[in-house]
Order: sequence, then structure tokens, then C-alpha cells
Amino acid sequence: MKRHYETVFILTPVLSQIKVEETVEKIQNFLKEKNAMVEYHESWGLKKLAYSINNKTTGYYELIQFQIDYTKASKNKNIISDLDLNFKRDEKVIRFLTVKLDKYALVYAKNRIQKIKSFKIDNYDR
Amino acid sequence: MIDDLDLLQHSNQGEEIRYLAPIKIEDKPREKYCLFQKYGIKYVDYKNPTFLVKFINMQGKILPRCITGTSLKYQRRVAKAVKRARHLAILPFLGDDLK
Repeated sequence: MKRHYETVFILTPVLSQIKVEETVEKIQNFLKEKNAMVEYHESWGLKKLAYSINNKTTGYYELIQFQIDYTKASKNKNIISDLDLNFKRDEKVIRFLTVKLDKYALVYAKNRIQKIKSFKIDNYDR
Repeated sequence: MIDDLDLLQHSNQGEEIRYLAPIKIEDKPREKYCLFQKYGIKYVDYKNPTFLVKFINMQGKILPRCITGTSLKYQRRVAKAVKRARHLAILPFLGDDLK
């Protein structure tokens, strides 16, 4: 059965734009290896944090929505724990959160993507 | 108009001009309703601070149900979403003037 997940993570503001894309690419490749299908990626760019995290007040916000098919081979058992481990090891990522999307959340996410696409803004800034 | 009032006042010094007392409008107690059931919102998004601000007070604390009037089922979801937003530094743990 298919399960949808959504991860939001924050990168340190010290990085250049290329470095940011590199880390995002690294995460997406990691997911592709574990044959998890990345559905949607969105970057909110440099945003002010509500409180300072290891004395940094801004950060690059990234959002990745992906889907794992557990009916396939049993090897994709602990993808999420590996993903979290991956985040922990990477010192560029200062905060991360992975969330399972239930059916209401999935409907909400789909509407949100359409709304953003209709606005034609790349990083949807709140 | 004002002169007449003035004249009137001077003419009968005796009895005062009694002004109408302001009518006491006691406001009907606003009955609280659950925002989620009324508008059919099923999912509380933790990434959207403008919506979550309705459920926290000035210091950033989560408002109790007796004030916001939301039902228990959705109050738990709001609490979970606010805590996730706090973890991701979208909402502060303690702010001073949030509204």
C-alpha cells in the first residue's frame, strides 16, 4: 500500500544558492535510491525564523513530498529512519520534520499545489 | 436648532431639560461555534502561520477550547499542528505581541 510523506527541513543561511540545491539534490537522490517517488519539491527561500536556532535567525526552508510503495520488495523497510539519520548527519540541516499524510492531508496538499501552480510563483512565500 | 435649545433652557429655569438616558444595549452573548465543523475544514496545516495565529494568544500559548469553542477532535489537531509549527520555527514558543 502506498504511503505519502512530507518533509520540511531548514538549512543554515550561510550556504550559497548552489550549496542549497546540492543538499536538496542529495536528499532527493537518497530517496530515489530507496525507490521512493518524489512527488513535489518546493523551496520557500530564505525566511526569518521565529526564534534563533544555534544563534542563526534565518534559514532556507525546503519542502519535499514523496510517496513510498510498501507492497514492493521488503527492502524499503526503514526508509524514514534512514532519511532522518541522513538529516542528523548532515550539519547543514539545522531542523527537519517528516510527517505522514493521511487522506485529508493528501487532499489538502494536492489543492495547495494546484493553487501555487495557478499563481505561477516558484517559491510560494507566505 | 441650537438657539432654540438655548432659549428653552433660559426660559424655564425651573425644571431641567432631562436628556434621554442612553439605552442600555446588553449584547447578546455571542454563541461560540467550531470553526472546523462549520466550514468543513478537515486538515489543520502546520505550515500556515496565518491560520494558526487564530488559536494562540499574545504570548504564543494555545488558547483553550472554552474560549475558541472548537470541538475536542479538532482542538487536538490544532494543538499538534501548533507544536509542529513551533518545532520548525514557524511559530515562536513564547512571543510578546503575536497578533
